[in-house]
Amino acid sequence: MDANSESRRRFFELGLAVGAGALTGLTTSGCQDGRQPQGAADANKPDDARIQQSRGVDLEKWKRLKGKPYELGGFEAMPGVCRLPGPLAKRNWPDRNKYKDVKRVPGMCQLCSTVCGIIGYVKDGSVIKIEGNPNDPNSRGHLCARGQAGLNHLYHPERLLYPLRRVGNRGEGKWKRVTWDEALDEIAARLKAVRESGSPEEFAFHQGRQRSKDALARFLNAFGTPTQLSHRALCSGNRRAANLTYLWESDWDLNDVEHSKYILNFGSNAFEAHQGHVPFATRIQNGRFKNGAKLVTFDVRLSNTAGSSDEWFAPFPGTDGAIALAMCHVILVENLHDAGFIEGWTNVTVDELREHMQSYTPQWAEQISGVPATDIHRIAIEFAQAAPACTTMCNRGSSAHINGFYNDRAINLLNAIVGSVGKKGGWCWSLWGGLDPLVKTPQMPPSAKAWSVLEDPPEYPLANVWRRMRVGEIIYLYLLQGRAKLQAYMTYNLDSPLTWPEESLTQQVLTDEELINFHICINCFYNETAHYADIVLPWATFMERWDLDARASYNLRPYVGLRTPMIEPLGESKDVREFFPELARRIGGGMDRWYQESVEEYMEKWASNVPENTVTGKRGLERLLDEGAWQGDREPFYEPYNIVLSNDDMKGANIDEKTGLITKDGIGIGIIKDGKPVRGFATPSRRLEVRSLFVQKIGKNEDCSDLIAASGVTKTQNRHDNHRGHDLDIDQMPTWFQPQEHRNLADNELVMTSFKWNVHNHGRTMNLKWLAEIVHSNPAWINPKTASLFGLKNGDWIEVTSYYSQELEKQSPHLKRDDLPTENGRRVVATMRVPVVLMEGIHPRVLAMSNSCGHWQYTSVAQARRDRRGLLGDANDSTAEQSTTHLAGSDPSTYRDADWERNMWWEDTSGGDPARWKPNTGKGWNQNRLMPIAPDPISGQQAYHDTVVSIKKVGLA
Amino acid sequence: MNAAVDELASLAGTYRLLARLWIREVDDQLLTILLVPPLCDVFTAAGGILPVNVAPSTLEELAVDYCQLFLGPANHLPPFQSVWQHGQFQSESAKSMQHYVSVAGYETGSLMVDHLGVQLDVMARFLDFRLESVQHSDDVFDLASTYFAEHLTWVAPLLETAINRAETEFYRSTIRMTRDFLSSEKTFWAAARP
Repeated sequence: MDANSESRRRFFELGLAVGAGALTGLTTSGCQDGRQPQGAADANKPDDARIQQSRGVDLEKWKRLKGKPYELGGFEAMPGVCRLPGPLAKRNWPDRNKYKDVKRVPGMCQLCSTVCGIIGYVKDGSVIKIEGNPNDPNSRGHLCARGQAGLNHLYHPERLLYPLRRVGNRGEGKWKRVTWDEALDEIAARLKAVRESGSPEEFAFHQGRQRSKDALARFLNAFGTPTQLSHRALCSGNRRAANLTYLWESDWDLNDVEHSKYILNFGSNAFEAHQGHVPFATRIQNGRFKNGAKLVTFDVRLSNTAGSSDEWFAPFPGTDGAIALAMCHVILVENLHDAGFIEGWTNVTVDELREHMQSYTPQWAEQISGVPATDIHRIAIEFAQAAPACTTMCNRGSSAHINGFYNDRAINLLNAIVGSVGKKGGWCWSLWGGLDPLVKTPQMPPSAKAWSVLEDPPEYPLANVWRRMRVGEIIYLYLLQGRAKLQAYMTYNLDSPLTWPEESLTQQVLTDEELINFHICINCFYNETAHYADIVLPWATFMERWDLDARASYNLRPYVGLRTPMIEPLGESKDVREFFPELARRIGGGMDRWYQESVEEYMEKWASNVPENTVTGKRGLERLLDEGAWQGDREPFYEPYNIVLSNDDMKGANIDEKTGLITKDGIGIGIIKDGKPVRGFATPSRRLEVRSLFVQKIGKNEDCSDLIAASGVTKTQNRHDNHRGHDLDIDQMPTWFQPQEHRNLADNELVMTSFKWNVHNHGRTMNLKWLAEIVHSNPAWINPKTASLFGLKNGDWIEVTSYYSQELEKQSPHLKRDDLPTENGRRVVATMRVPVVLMEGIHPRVLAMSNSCGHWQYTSVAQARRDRRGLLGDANDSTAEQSTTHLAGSDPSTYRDADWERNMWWEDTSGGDPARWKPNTGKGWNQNRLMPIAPDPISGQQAYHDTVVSIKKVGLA
Repeated sequence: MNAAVDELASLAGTYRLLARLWIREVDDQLLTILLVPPLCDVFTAAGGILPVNVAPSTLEELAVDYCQLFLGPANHLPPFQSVWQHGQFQSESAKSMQHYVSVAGYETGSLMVDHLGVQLDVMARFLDFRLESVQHSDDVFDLASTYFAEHLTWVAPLLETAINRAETEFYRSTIRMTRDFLSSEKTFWAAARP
């Protein structure tokens, strides 16, 4: 008997033994106990438990389709793979049959914060292409590279498919699968204990990017915890606070760039990132090329936005506000201001402004920023001459600073002085931030009554007064300091070890089971946060779940978009809309009464007010499923302050003879202007608040109830009892200061800044192969002049040491830690070695590194790693050898995707040795390791762009 | 001819057992049965290495090994044909498997159709059917051999890598057993095809 026959005989005997019934009920299809067919009973059974063996092979079906057998690598119109036109595909590219019989399913992207409308082309249950939805009024059919790479996200081979339970120590990386039932039972038991402990705030929900606001709030409110943490302070806190100070009703300026003649950009990289990204960038370009607008950018770095501008200036970091104030000064001196608007619609006079601006000369600003006074002067005049069709724009470039609140206050003031506020082509905003108000969220549970220092830290007076912006970057520090404790911590689409400052502190706290007793992580992928979880729940992607969603639209009118499952979630992944009701039922205590409908019934109810399309006859959810988005026929929100109040509005209203303020039941509703009752601004003075008494008083924790009532924005928080004893001087007027550490930089010190690329978001896209191939590493940008001082050339390595802010040592002593090393009397955050790339397009005193890089747990693509572990112990096996020359999971003997095969050319094979490192290889470095926790003392926004670092050249062996 | 048919039908049992072992972690019920003669003897003779007991710690160790091998959450080897041939889930091979699963009248629930465990189980199904359909024997043979060629010959790189990565003898031997079995089957079906 030959070896093969012998082997076959052994398997024959094994089969006989099994077939004899020893494993009846255990073997077939994994069914162990006569489990029900799919969907018949318990949807929470593990999916293999729902597998059943149906009797009867359909030979006729086989014969019918046998004529078109599957051929490996054939070019039948097989869905599921978005084949790039590589050399192997060229023979059949473009494949004209590919889009035959496809279903177009609308959705909304979630690979950055912009939420563009998308359409998924679905064929035979697979999404084969994603493109922009032209019905989306904000994105208008455009979709960036991130959105196109949604297919990588959906079909990524390393997606989480099953609930997992930690085995061994937290952070050890050992897991086992559990069923949804087991996972939910354990989570419910832990949460129930927290709820019944009398301290519901000790259950914290910590979200990264989230677009299911109602679903999260429903669960957390029903539970009774106020501790919903976010990353807003790491993102846009100062910009929002500055806007709110002027407007109260909106935290988001929507610059009407499409109709502008002049766009003054302070540090925003809208062409690559920005919350408005593609909708905003396309309108900027329309403004420039269809309307003749000029775009001037101030940015420490030559971003793609700066590079595409008509003029670019590189100021010293954090001096945007000084430049803006100097421009205000010029405009007033040159009498180019809009006196009518200032006197009529702001709460200051021209004379007051002149006096306030007296010292902010262009020469003063030049000294601070390095931007020539003549240019400041010229641009100020150009800007004012374009009024009212002119606007500023800004974002993290100006706001992510210790003085960011004042930077953005000063920038906004430019619009007030030239009277472009609310004007066509000017600085506008939306009266509604999200969905069209016609769409009503089904009844929500009341908000939680408890209080948490993590959610509402008293040291940051503007963090939560108008909106719940929180101060995300302090939470791990406060936990370490013992200022709060967490019995349960649920993270959602979050990657805090990578995206938060002080990576080491974040990891330290996430590892500590005393500080965080129990950690549930909800995510599509295993990442640096999931690594420190106790239970990981596989989340459905944005192409597999429901939401109504919308951004503040640059069309200046609200709309409603639909995110809908294009396909069933892969594996056992689920959305929170599916499993939160189940969790609520298990926790009990009345939580389940907030979940009375199926998800689809809930969506139907939510969308029920979407009116009928008279052409198709469809309305509500049916209409949204057809079109993907609906925008009402409201007029754009130009000059909303001039809206005349109706007779109904005025019924029962009181008019203050002296101020002209109109109130109803003590609540402000408008102001008399030119003898007419108009809406005005939703502020205490009903005018644009250049001078803000409110911020000064709330900083001192004084009662502001009268101001809140006068504004009509009654959701604004008054002083909080838990803030007692805390006070901060906040200037009523737009002003500016420079952080202490920036005033006298030592010769070997630079200011470190970070930035985003056009193909990545901060922490969630480096796993997508199409994007990672384009950008995967982040050497430090340094100006050639600076480099020469340090003897550096391209590809050399430096050692970067970062320091805590001296300004914050003074202003925020509660941040102080005594367990950190000091160097020349300064506390050191971290030291890191990185290569440099010499760039003319960077300020000589700035070191820049992009974010998004440096993952250490987030899929093999994100780590730029071809796994060689398969070779261990079997290095002579030729098949194993072959299998590891390609990406984990690809078989080179049959694999046909040339893109995949070439895609890992950037793997770093230096073994961490700088001498062997090759440029443009590797996964890059997490620059946040160097960033200290640095909240602006007013709003709490993380000052990502202020960190002082020292550098020295690394000598190579 | 009958002997050959019987042999095929018996091998269906091996396919079913391996399918079960691939689809999910071994549990106490299955392990208890595997440890009882004569199954433990033939399992061992076929190359399997069984743990000595079904203690909770043993089961957990096996569950952890299964997880790190096939479920992740990181550096794992997803046992899906799509992943190994196209670098992603749900590619052409899944589409093709959907066809065979439909022919077999087989429901997979939320388990993706081109999971190796499903593929093994579908093969068992075809072999079982051959016994019941003597009058269509040639058609079923054609079906099974075509199916095997298309969906059970891709596995070598997965199995070789998984053998190296397994941390328990049980899973290392089970994967090796799968490799040997499918290798033997490959020879058989290649020779049997006209």
